[in-house]
Amino acid sequence: MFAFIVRRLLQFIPTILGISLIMFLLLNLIPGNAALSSAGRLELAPEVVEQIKAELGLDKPIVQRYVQYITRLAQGDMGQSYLRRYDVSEVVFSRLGATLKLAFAAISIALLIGVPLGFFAALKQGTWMDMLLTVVAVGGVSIPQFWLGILLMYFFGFMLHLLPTSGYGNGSLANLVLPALTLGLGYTAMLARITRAAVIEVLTSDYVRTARAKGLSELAINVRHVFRNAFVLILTTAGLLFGSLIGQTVVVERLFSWPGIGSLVVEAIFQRDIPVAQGCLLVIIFVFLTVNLLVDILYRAINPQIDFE
Amino acid sequence: MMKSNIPNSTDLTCAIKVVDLHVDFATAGGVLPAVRGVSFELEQGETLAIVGESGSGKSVTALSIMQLIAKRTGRISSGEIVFDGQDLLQLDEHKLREMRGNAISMIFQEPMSSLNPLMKVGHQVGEVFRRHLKVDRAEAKRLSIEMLRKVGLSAPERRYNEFPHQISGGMRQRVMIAIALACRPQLLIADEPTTALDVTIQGQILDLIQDLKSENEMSVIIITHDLGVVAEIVDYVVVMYAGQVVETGYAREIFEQPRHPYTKALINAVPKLGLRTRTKQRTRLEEIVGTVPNLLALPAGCAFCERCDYAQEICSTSAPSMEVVGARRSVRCHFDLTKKDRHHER
Ligand SMILES: Nc1ncnc2c1ncn2[C@@H]1O[C@H](COP(=O)(O)OP(=O)(O)OP(=O)(O)O)[C@@H](O)[C@H]1O
Ligand code: SF4
Ligand SMILES: [Mg+2]
Repeated sequence: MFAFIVRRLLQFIPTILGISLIMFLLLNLIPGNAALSSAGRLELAPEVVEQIKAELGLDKPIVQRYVQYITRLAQGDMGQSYLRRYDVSEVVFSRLGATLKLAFAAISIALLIGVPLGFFAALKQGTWMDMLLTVVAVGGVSIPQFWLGILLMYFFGFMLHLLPTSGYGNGSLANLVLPALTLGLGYTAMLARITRAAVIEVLTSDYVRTARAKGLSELAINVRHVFRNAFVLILTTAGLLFGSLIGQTVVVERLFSWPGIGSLVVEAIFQRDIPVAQGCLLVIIFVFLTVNLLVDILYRAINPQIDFE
Repeated sequence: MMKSNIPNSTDLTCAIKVVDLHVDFATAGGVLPAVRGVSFELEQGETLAIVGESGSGKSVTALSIMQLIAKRTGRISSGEIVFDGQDLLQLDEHKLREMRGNAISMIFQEPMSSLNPLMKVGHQVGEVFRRHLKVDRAEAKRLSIEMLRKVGLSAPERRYNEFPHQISGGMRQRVMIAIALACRPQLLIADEPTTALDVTIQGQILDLIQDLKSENEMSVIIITHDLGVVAEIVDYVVVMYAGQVVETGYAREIFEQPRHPYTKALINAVPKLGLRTRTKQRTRLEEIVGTVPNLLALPAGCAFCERCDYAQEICSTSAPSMEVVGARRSVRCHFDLTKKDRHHER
């Protein structure tokens, strides 16, 4: 188990290197540059622009810049913001907490609501309750996140005045509710559908028939035989799902002015503040990889058919 | 419809009696009558073989006794299954659960998938003890290890803690047998217990069932589509075709003088009947020319008509009914094969 985790963590390195290269190239090739942005809309003499470029190290060839970037990254230095002269790693990590909080809340909503609903629907397969849940879930999967967010804001914020619609509110729970719902509800619906399918598959399996043939009660069959097996099936899909959820935080944070990495990266890209954008993206990728690793560990922990070798 | 060949007795020596069982499945193509009026009777301590090609309704009949027919699609539409003086089809779910795995047990066709992959095999055996004997964990463990030893697993203490994927198919089937026999059932139903296994293992598993049978005084229903495999160990045979019983009788009589053309074809498909064939599946029944009829569009006459060497005009228009032709012997055919054989020219 320990060796497995270490090996997987080591695999992060080539992955991050590869991604960082692509990212570096893309970000440095997009038109516009920070030297001009940082100068605002002023008409600057070409010499001044050159001078700013030199200060930022932008006059050097791209290969040299990449090598320098990676070398510094290895030492935990993500560089300086072009615009505000702050340490990228410092600001990125100060924003990480808010993003993790949002993602964790959304995943919890998806797990705590989606899985039981899917299980219930599977047990009631073919009844009106199952159909109703299916319709709601399909709706939930298809509704665009942005639209859902605006609807929630409108009802709970502007109409009912129940919940704040923007900002972090010093970490108060009320501020978390709407962004977490916006991010989580679509995944709740997806997870409900995945769970339903998994449970139905398990219910028709030979080993559940064996459990019935033993004379076990429905409860014992569901708890000991159905749920665990269904959960293994669910996890195989849920891993990918939660990875994509991390990516979706960008949209939701932007919508709710949530001070996480997602809103920072959007800002940075618009302002061509490339070191900040790079830092944010790297951290998002790192979180994504970590979530996948955690799901994998959990999967292996409950599935004896896969050992850690 | 058909005449029941079952004498109307509440014989104390009767292990189980199935009377005019009908089972339907709702399918995309319409209602599929998988079992159409099956009747047979098994005496205490006997081993009965249900024989027939794939799709003839053997498993559905067995699952009906356990009442494990998939509820969403399947339905036992009529019939009686008398066990221990009561009709199992009238029992409530609670009583059925008391009975399953306790008085009546079943071993399934697929040892590979019939065990829960996430549960230690020992716990899967122990579960039965906990359920029916209401023993505590420690006692269940002790009994389970004992049971695993009985079904011939080496180092049962170690096996107890293993997962199904860590043991071979033959061992898994032994574990299934341990589960089935844990509570010393009166009736064991073994649905093709050896089909998925190696030829050498097949013999071992059948021997094991035989040994445990004599030890526990139970009756056994063994389902197979390969008469050769079970010929040595069965007392009584029920031959099924397209959801119906076409012939019943004592094994010796059936093998010596089959009276239904289908039974005859089955026996001819087994090269050295009487010896347990340990040669690979050459002895499959595919050798009977033609295929089983579509249960969704059954012919008006005899279901075997299209493949039957003895078919006459009447066979395609009128379905034969079951006729008693001897002691616990009956056959579903318009003609008497023993006589017909002489006149028949084909
Ligand atoms: N759950 C089900 N839904 C629909 N049809 C079914 C179902 N179970 C069985 N059947 C149909 O009932 C018929 C009899 O099936 P059964 O499993 O009893 O055959 P069998 O004699 O056991 O064959 P095999 O030797 O292949 O095990 C088949 O035509 C099969 O397709
Ligand atoms: S009734 Fe006719 S078709 Fe059917 S088995 Fe007898 S001889 Fe053959
Ligand atoms: Mg079968």
